[in-house]
Amino acid sequence: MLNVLVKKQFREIFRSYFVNPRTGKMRSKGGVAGMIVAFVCVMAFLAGYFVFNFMTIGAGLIASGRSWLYFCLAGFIAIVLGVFGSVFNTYSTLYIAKDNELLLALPIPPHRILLSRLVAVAVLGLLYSGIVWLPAVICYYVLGGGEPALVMGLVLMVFVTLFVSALTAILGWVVAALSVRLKGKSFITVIIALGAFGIYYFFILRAGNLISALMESGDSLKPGFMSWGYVIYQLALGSTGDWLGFGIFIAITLALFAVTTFVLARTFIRIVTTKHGNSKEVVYREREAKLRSPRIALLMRELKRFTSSATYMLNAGFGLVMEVAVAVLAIIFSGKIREVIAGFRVENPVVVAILPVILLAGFIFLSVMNYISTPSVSLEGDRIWVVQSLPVTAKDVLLAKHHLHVFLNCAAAAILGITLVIVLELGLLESVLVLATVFVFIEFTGMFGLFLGLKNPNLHWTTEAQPIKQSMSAIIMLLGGMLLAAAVGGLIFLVVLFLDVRVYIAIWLVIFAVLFLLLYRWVTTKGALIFEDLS
Amino acid sequence: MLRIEHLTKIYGEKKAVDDLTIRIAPGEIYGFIGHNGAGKTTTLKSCVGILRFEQGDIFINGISIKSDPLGCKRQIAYIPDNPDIYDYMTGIQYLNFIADIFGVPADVRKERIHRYAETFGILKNLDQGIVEYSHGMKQKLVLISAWIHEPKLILMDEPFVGLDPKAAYQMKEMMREFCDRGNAIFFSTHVLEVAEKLCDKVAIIKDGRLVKSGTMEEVRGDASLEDVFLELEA
Repeated sequence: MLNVLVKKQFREIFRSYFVNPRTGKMRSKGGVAGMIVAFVCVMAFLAGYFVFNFMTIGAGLIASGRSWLYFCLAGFIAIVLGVFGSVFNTYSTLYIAKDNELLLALPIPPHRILLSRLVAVAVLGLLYSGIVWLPAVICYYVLGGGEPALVMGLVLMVFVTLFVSALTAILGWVVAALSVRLKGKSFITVIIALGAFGIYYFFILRAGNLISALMESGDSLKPGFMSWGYVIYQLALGSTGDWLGFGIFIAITLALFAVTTFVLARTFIRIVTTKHGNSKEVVYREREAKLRSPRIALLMRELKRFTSSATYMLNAGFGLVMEVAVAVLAIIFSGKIREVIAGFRVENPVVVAILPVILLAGFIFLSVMNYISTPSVSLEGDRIWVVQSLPVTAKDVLLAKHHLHVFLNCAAAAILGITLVIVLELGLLESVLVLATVFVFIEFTGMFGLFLGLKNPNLHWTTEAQPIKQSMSAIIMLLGGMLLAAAVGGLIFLVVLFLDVRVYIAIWLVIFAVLFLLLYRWVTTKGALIFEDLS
Repeated sequence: MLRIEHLTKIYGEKKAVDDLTIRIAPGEIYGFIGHNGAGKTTTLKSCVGILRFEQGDIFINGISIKSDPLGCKRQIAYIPDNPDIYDYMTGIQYLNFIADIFGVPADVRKERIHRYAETFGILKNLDQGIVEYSHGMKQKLVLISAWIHEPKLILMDEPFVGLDPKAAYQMKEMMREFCDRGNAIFFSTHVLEVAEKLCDKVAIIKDGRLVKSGTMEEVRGDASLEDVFLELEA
């Protein structure tokens, strides 16, 4: 029975690789191959990034006999990335999956339902943590770590995955337990998550300094790791070939996983069957309503959808918070920023000259993290019949999704943009060009997100995490945007000697404007027809 | 009011609806009966403009659903068999959304919402999230959303499923009153006793084809509707 449930979970997770969500038909072999190749490319890109970093860090640490510190760092990053990368996915997979009640109504022991979902969670956790751990283990071998350590490190990858799964299941349980009690939980969840992300990014941004400090401090840190970071320390020892550390980490992981599964199994039914939101009755108070136009009504519907879901806000709107945070930091550190620029002006004036381009590339990078329009078509789900049966055009429905994307993105971009042009003391023309290009880029990404969503719709999801963060559309938008940011920021170095920076920015403005217009035409014509036919 | 002319809908190689012709006049409650998979939902969804069809046409008060779908949708309301609506809204937010789309003035909608919500007994629940509603409460909310903009034609797919007896009685009263004002209702049901008592006319569909239609007296004669249905299904 367990293998049947696990197969079902994997079919759901990887459904879009084998089934075209728009037609509901199986993909051709070429189509499946293409999807797998795209996935492999993404993983290879990320693995390459970590290989580069671990080779750099490892060379110093391993040569100086501090392999334990190397694996403490790798283990910490793998676990943190694995946990934060999958905690909300774990919550939605375990506790708010659409088929929880259906499965509970069948003669299936609840702990097997839970276990099958945990297996799925573990696989996703493996992707997040494995992308860090595997390069770390291989780099250690390449740097002279020896074959026993390679084998043990690879075996430990499985247990790191279990460890991450147990931690995310616990955190997901906390989120679920809070959800049952809280009203308006989406915003509270977002605030808590943002606090956690803030801490996470604080350490990531200081990682370079921290690692340097760690490398200098070396063995004096060992007692600290042995006490506060005992589990990670044992993992590190096991990965260097120490059998005792290997055994201790595996034992701790298995014990944690077993206890977690036991506790979750005891509370699983109560949590998934308790209605979310406030159990107290909210008595209706009649209020005056205002007549809104259909377009405003559709826009407010989109806003309500976005703000009702912590998963949606945190994944597709994370950049909004980042942009405001960067603006605040820019104001706080404006003096230092100007000092640095003044220094560059003397030592390397080219950097100052291309500053508007670097700013634009940074905006693009942050902006694509707000892919609000991308999952919006799929998120209509089984309720799409409502707008399809109303006297509104598909074009109006799609434009409402685009408008939400643009309004929220432009608001955040305006805050950041105006702050930065003042702090960086850009010229008027450069400032206008950069901001105009950013706004046009936002219009373009709004339309591109709809294009992706209409080309790869998935209305039949069991958790909203599927269309929001597990879809090919979301991956294309994020990765494509990052590559575009790199292209915008990188190509300037090839042309800076013979092309004015303002002309360079203006070219990108025109490119984004043309792309936006082409996509607008497609979305409002062919895209609207696709939307009308979705079911 | 509603004219379905030679409607044909094909899924792959299967004809879900085959050359269906039905005419519904103002003031009629028209029942639509058939076995599971007979083509009832497909027909209703085609009338609403949710499904494209290969042949034929559908006219609502003379307006073709193919050439002017918005014109048709402004005159109709659709109640599906499964009331999947926006669980991220409260009941009143959903009703206001529907009312905004149809341009129902604020004072008018307030009175109608109060009246229908009180009739169905969910007035006090309107500020609760739809996610907390039972199936029956959602069904009632969808019914209210259909009535508040006063359409000319209501299309309903098994509307009595999930309703408690009191709500089912009240809905029958509302349906009769609605059609007595010159409007029309076209609904599918498996509850033949209700169809017998409520409908002015009935159509029986089998494997996508119309097998019998007419007034209740013409269709059932001296037998019961159940007997007629079972005989046709045999």
